[in-house]
Amino acid sequence: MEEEDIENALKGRLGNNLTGLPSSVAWPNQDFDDDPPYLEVQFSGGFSNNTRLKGGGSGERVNGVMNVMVVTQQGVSTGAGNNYAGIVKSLFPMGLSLSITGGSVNILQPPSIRKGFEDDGNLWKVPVIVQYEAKAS
Amino acid sequence: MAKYTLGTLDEWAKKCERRLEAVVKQTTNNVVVKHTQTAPGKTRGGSVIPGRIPKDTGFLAASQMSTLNGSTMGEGEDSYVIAIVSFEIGDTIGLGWTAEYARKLHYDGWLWVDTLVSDWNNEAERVIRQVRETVG
Repeated sequence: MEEEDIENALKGRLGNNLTGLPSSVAWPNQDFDDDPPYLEVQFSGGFSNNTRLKGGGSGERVNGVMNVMVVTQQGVSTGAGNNYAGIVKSLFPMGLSLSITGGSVNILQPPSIRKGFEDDGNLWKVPVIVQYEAKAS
Repeated sequence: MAKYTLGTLDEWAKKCERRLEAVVKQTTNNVVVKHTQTAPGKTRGGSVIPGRIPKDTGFLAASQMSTLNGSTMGEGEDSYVIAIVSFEIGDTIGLGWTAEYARKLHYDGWLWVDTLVSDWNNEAERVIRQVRETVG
């Protein structure tokens, strides 16, 4: 399992299903300059573990976090941000399994929509935390 | 391997409890130590490092507050230790950062809390292996 495949599977799930969502997405490590509304994607974690004493093979697992930040205009109610966050959450239901080379990326718990907050004086941000586990086949 | 009979059920139960408590305490300690490490914040020339706490003045890291079953146990960068020491099976440990800007920085990509959570199961598996060897 490659880290690139894991991230691409998750990014693809979002990027290929933007119906009802802002079409503009700030992907990690890519230049971005657009007005809200847009989505901002961040990754963290990516911790490897292996349940097999010998290592390698089907025992390998990688746990991590994808944060999809919904960014809307501040001062226009919280409805739009929460609505977009709900759509993002629905794209990663518990039990979802995305196939990748040498394994799969699995969603083992429902994504968590966190309370929105004001940022930079004119933005309203709502984080959607997606915990995932990639498992080698 | 130890053999247990009906007459020694209590002993077996106590041993299980000791192991459980050791796993939860050690795992919590390990993941908190690992994922509350600081890195220079933006005003000190740093950039976002997911899984770390940004440190500019040190106020954010020092605003850590730990609770046990809802009661405040300690405040400060190492406050979690007090909660872990007092923990018994069935208790709930809470950990938070009370600096006003903690939330914004966390979701600006630092994500130390969610990173800590994502690593808990992995760490627990490592600790379980150790506890099997060390708890009698």
